[in-house]
Amino acid sequence: MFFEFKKSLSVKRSLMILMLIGLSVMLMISGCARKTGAVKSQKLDETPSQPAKVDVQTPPAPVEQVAPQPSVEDDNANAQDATKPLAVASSAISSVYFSFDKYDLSDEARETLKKNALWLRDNATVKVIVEGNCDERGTVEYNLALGEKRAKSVKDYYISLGIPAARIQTISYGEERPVDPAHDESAWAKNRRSETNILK
Amino acid sequence: MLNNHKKLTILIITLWILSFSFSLATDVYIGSIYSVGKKWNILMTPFQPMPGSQKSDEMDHLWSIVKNDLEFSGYFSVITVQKVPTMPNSPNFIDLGFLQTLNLDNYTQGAYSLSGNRLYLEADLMNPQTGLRLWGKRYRGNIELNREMAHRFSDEIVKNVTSYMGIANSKITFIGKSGTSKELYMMDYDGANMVQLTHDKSITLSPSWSPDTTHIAFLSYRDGYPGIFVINVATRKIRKIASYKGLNSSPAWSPDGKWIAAMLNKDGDEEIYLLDPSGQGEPKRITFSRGIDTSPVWSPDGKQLAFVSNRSGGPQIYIMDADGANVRRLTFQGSYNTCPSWSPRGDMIAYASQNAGGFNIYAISVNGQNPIQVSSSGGSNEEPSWAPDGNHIIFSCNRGGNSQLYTMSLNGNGQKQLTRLSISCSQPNWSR
Repeated sequence: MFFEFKKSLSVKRSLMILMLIGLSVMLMISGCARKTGAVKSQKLDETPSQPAKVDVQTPPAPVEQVAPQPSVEDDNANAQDATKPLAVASSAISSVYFSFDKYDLSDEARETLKKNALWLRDNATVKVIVEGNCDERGTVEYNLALGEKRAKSVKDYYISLGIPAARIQTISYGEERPVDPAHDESAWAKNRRSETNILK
Repeated sequence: MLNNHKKLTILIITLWILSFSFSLATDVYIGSIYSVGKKWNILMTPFQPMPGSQKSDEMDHLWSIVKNDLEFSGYFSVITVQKVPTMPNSPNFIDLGFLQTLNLDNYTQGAYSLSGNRLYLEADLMNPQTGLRLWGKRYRGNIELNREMAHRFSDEIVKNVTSYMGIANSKITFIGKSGTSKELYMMDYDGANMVQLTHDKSITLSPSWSPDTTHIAFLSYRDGYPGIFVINVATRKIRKIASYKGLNSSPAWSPDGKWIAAMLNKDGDEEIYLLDPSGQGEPKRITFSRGIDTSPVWSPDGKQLAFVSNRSGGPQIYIMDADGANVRRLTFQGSYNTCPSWSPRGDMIAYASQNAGGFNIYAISVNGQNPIQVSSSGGSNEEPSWAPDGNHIIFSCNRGGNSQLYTMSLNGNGQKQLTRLSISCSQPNWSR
């Protein structure tokens, strides 16, 4: 075993080892028996060279145990149910569609919005919310901003057609409200849209 | 002529002295700069019941939590044995020769006692050459905190051996989608202790931890319109901090906790503002370019922000000072780069870049040099967030159908699916 141990060491270190062996024998002779106890690793109190750091920690109470506060219940009661939309669609008003990562209005979109604007002029008490939506391919936060740009493009065009700004709100849903949940070009084209809905 | 026992004694002493000199050589690694690929060989033996305490299967599991933590850290090759053999004629002496054959750098052991629901855990890091204890920790707490004890012990090992901080006590917040609603969740870094934090049946997005991990800022449509809210994760109390006209999105808590950067378009354009987390005071606008500026993230020193802008056409990553000065474009490769996350080491920014098949995670140095693709598996790999150790990235991917969370190391190795939930998971944010 001793020999094997030596073999595993580099030649360069052989001299040093020999010196250390000599030293170790000297240490043994000089009554170093106390040190042999140090290899009794299982005994924690026999670690003279490195006293253990003792750290008695009382961790904070676990999150799972915390009961919801009454105020949270109140907040939840105030939350808007996503299944109850702010506005309703009207069969008299059509959606317009956009190219990927674009918010400018196509000629087709302008024609659609002109028809919508005629109806809005005839129904002057109606207030609308223009929604901006995106397809799923972009990323969530950028699509929220992109949806807002799409809604703003539509709102600005309505204003240019004489609809008062005070009648038009905007909201972006980014990629959160697809009309077609499929993952193909046909679905994406339908989802890159702006809807004009009647505020309740 | 020496008898066998005396020979053995000489051997042990000699080995002890030799290994003392070698442990100095081993010390060279301790505190040295981490390089990918350097691993410490560590031996683990199962935690033992203390005298008078009963053996518990749950405590065996505790030991496996530490093992998983050490393996996940990337710093260790974990070797396990049920028991280190003792010398044939001296049961009090562990067989250092056996430890030598394993080529170990470190070795750990632990003991526990259970009394009612109180757990006491004593765990040590040992020098395998000498059998000497390098340090030990004692933990006392309720049994339900056993995972936290194990994680704390793991982080101590990482810190003591590598000099880097461990991540075993870090948390991850994310968005879970069920039906048409998206809610806020959080969990331990290993996926355990998952908690649903909101029950709004609404759209919740973009969670961002406060630096002290006590609060999460997020976007929610809980009032019908997109606003920015802050939740106290202990009390679950929710506060509204921004609900200006139009879009309020993309909150990002500053490293000193004093600001939440966010995108507002209250002034007619999508711009980045700094908000007071209390919701008081006027937002301070810091971008002034027409078009979309969104998704701000802070540098670890809080002096700079990375963000997404379409000022040059498609979305690209930019960097600016925290007061909005010195704006410069960071990414030039690819036409759609979003979702920046700044490495806690400060030198890299991860982001999602769109290519033919979907998105992949890239990392680029903050001086704009050498963007490297980190993720490579199928599906759309998006929304990277760095672990506090700077070695790991969590991201979302739909490769298995519905979107789940995955982790990987910075070189893309060690990809691991962290969540396997029926809800679809997105926008992970790793605590600091």
